[in-house]
Amino acid sequence: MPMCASKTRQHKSYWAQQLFHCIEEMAQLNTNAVLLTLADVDVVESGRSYPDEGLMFANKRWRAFYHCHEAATQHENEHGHFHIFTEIGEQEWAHAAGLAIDDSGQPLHWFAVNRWVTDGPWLDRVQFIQQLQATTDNEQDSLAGRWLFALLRLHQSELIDMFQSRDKQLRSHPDHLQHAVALEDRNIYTLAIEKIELQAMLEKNLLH
Amino acid sequence: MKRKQSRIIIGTAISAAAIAIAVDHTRQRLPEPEITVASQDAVIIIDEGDELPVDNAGDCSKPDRPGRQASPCSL
Repeated sequence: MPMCASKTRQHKSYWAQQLFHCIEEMAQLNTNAVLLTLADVDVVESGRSYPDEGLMFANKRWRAFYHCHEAATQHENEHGHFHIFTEIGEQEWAHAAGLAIDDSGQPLHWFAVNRWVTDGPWLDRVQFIQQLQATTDNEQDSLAGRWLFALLRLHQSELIDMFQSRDKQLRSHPDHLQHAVALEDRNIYTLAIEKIELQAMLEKNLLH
Repeated sequence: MKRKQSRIIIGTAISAAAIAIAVDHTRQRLPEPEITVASQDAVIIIDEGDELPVDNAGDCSKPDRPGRQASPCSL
């Protein structure tokens, strides 16, 4: 990769442009990332993950699926959410973030879940940053995959804040000295939330 | 100077509008999910004559054999 392209990717404006291109492509098709992910699905079933094989992106180093829970376990105004994982070893996937989506396919907020929710290895904040910066976008990825990765990179700072809030929340757990106990506490599903203001974020990084 | 300023404002407004229009076109109603009666964890093929497996997949009360339900959002 040329040096200048690599440097460009460190800037939020690059990811804002990539995201906007994805949105423009979707707009032309009157669709969004969730509808694209559910394109071959006749009936959406709660609790089931789509697509079956997972949505791979960013040179297959990142992977996501979309699903809906029954209403009682959903966040407010949420239709469903993407769970986004990153490969941290040979076929070893760690959960990086959840992305809540409203019923018109728009991103509502990022969220961090407790370890028991997604199983697998626990991703710390430093690892998350390294994973995000070590991978780059791939034009061959699906439109939904490119949209997800651009959204992740554009919100890198906000996601780092979310990881800090998540860790702070865990430290306030009565069993915080026994880290493993807190991570398996079935009473705690969501540990942190970071709101998404898509329009404002795009304007801030494309127009200013 | 006054004219130039107006032009910048108009240019910015158009770009902001372009973002709003594009985002708005992606606002498309998602299909209502149907609640599944029972989830299927895996397909198990049992040869004729073999014993049936113990049916405790998804039983969170048995931590030594956690099923998929133990981690509802795992890969």
